[in-house]
Amino acid sequence: MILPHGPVELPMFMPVATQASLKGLTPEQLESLGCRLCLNNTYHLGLKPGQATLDTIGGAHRLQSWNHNILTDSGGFQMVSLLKLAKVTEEGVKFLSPHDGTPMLLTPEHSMSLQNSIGSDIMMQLDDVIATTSPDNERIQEAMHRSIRWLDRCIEAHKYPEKQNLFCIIQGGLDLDLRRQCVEQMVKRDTPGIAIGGLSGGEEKAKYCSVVRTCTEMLPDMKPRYVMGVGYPEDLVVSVALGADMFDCVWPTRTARFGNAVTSRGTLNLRHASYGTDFSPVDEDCDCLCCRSKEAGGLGVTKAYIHHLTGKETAGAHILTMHNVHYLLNLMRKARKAIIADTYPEFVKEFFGKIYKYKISDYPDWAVEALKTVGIDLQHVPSASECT
Amino acid sequence: MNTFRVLKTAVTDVATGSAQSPGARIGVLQLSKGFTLNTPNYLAPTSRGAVPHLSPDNLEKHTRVVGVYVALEDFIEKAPQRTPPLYTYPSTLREFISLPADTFLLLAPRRSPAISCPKPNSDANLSILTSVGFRDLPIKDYVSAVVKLQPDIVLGIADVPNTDKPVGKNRVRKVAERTEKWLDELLGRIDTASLSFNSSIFSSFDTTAAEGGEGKGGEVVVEGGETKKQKKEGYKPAVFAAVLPVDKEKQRIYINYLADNVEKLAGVVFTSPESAGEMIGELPEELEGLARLQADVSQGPHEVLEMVDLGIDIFNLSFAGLATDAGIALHFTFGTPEGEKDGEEGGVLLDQLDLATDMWDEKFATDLGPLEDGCMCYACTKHHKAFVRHCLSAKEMTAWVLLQIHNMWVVEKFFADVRKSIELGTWEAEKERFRRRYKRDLPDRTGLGPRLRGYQYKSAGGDKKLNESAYRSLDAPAPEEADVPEVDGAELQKSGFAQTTTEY
Repeated sequence: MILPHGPVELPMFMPVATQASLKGLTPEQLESLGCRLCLNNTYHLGLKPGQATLDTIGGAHRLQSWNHNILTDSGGFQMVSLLKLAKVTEEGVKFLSPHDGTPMLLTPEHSMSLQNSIGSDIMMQLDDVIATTSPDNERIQEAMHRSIRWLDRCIEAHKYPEKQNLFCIIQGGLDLDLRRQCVEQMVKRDTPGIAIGGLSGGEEKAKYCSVVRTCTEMLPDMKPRYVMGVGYPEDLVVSVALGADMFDCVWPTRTARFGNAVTSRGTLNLRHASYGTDFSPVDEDCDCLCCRSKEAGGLGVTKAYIHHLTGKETAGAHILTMHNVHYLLNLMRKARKAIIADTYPEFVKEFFGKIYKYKISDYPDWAVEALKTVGIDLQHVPSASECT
Repeated sequence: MNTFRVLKTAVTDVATGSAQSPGARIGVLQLSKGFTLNTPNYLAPTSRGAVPHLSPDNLEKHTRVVGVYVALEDFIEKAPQRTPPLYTYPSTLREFISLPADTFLLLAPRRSPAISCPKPNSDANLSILTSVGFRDLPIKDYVSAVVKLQPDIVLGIADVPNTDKPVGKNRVRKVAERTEKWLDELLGRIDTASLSFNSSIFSSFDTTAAEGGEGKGGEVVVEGGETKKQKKEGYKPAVFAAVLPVDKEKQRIYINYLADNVEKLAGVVFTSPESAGEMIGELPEELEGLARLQADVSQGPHEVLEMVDLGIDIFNLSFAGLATDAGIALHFTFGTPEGEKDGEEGGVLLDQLDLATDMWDEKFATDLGPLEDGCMCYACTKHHKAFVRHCLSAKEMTAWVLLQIHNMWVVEKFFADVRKSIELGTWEAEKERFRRRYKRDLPDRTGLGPRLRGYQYKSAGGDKKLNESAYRSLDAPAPEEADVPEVDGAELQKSGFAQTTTEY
């Protein structure tokens, strides 16, 4: 995918630098992990440093000295999730200013204007976000149709279509028919990329997969598909099989600050006392700066040292954040290689095998079923050579 | 071998053979693993083995920290009930904390400044504070930890009463006696252990002392397969003995002990700024060739210069880190910049300069200039004030990372300039100029620092909470720093975030 600040390779994971910095890492460290596209949140940048400051400085790239790509969300999701009493109307999102109680309104036009000031390489439309688990079907339907109307307003309000890419967001809850209608309408608008929104909100994994599959089947081949808010390694590997290209999530960075390491053998809670005397690298299979031995030019960090630092010195969080981000970026790089080499099914089998120690009965049902729909049979016992 | 050589003093040149006397001096400390420290210089204090805010890669790449000050009390939480993980670690302390290869490690029993403990020391135990509470550190455990952990420099334990009460009359005598006994234990153990040191992994290091140039002094050459030949000149930690903060008469016997054992020592350490002033001129001639370390320097560069003038060589510098936590960027330069003469311009005395600037100040919100003009550190060459100020105000950890990198850089350059001026014979004039040119105190702290941890502060009854709570009930009034707008509706409309509306 070619973007204003350089090409990026798909599929990819995008780490979330909420307020223009990735949780204690310098942009240089993020770059050294191979990241070429990261997220900033419009809601947060709109509050701090604010639009006027962004305009004066000349956008978010300049603010954080990041010469690679940035994607921004619309700000609507945080609006609804962080602000009490936010209401969605046809005009926009209404809320009471927590400071003085003044009624306020955030419209698709505001969102576009803010994202124009940020100067992100990929902008997201303001959508009407409803939890997919909501029982109110009528409301979900309304939200889907409203999102289409707001997309039109966003396209209209977008000041720099030649230098910033606006992606639409497909809504429609878990109702596959609604999703299909939405895809049909939105594809007509011919945005440079397409996001599948409203997922990753606690819905059943099987339903998540069928929504992704339903959308990707209908989407044009030559446009990137971005599934918003997804970051667990297993979800990524399955979603790539289902035809998705881009993912973002705060989980890998947030969980690092709680002392959790994302590894090829699952997620490890390094705060557990047993890791206090575990002097092995965070992930034996990982070649990130933290896990590589000193002889190999790495830092030679052990699980025990992370255990020693977690929750007490931020440097520990920085190291683990680097590892976790590297793990997910690298997982997607390996997925790309496998797809190119036509060996993605083997890649998926090895990935699940390592996490579940090749105990097929432990594999999650949703993943087994979802992968079957695209012809990958996890339960097929691989030959010995495939296990390595 | 660990050696310290005085190269030149500000008043007399050593080479001419004239007597040394207290006063500013440049020297070189060479440690047995091949590290070289040009003095005067500083050590970076650590917390749990990390220089605060800096992951090891940032420490290596973006600072020139030559040595770090590590406290054993940061690693031995559950002892003696449970063996601390560090003691079962198959390698050394520097490996455990992933210390960069060209940075040396000083091991002390306690952090400096240490938090005072409610329980006094006993004959066999030092009272310490770990992250899980106050504990006893048996002296014999410290001594064996030194053998196991293989620091480059180790501090002798001073029986400084670390309760808040002043030293009583009878207690004073004990202070010196215990300190001597504890040091004797340490020196004895290092002597008997020196054989086992050299059968260990460190025999693979080339121990030929590297010639240190300016800048980053430490240099280690790893050479495989040459272990046997180097055994006779192998590793031994450099021991720095404490000079006590008590009257010189009360520690006369102890100081004589030091003089008798001077060949086993590499340096002396002053535990309080006052004791350096009182004792440095009173040390016997035999001890003058030892390096002098000041264990806590929290006030600022003026304090450093005064102590350089007393003849202190190495500073465990806490003020740079304190400034970082406060969101303050240091910017002072030792030595007269070009085009400026003695703080005067056309005969008019210039205003005194600030030593540092509080980066929380809103006026930096759109300032794209570096933290300090002309600074070559990573933070100044790649980032700007506006970003640092944004990260501070958004409480993003990157703010403190960048400030720490910058502040370490300023301090590093300051010491390099101090060494240069002693070398060139301009010390007296430059010291005087600095004293007049810069304000005495660092700016006051205005913004919030990073979250404080229990082991960093001693609680007293009736304290307020150290940190704002991160979570609150949705119905509680919004605190100032939450993820919600902090300004009123009119302001939000003006800023383009949203517009006011009549109905809701």
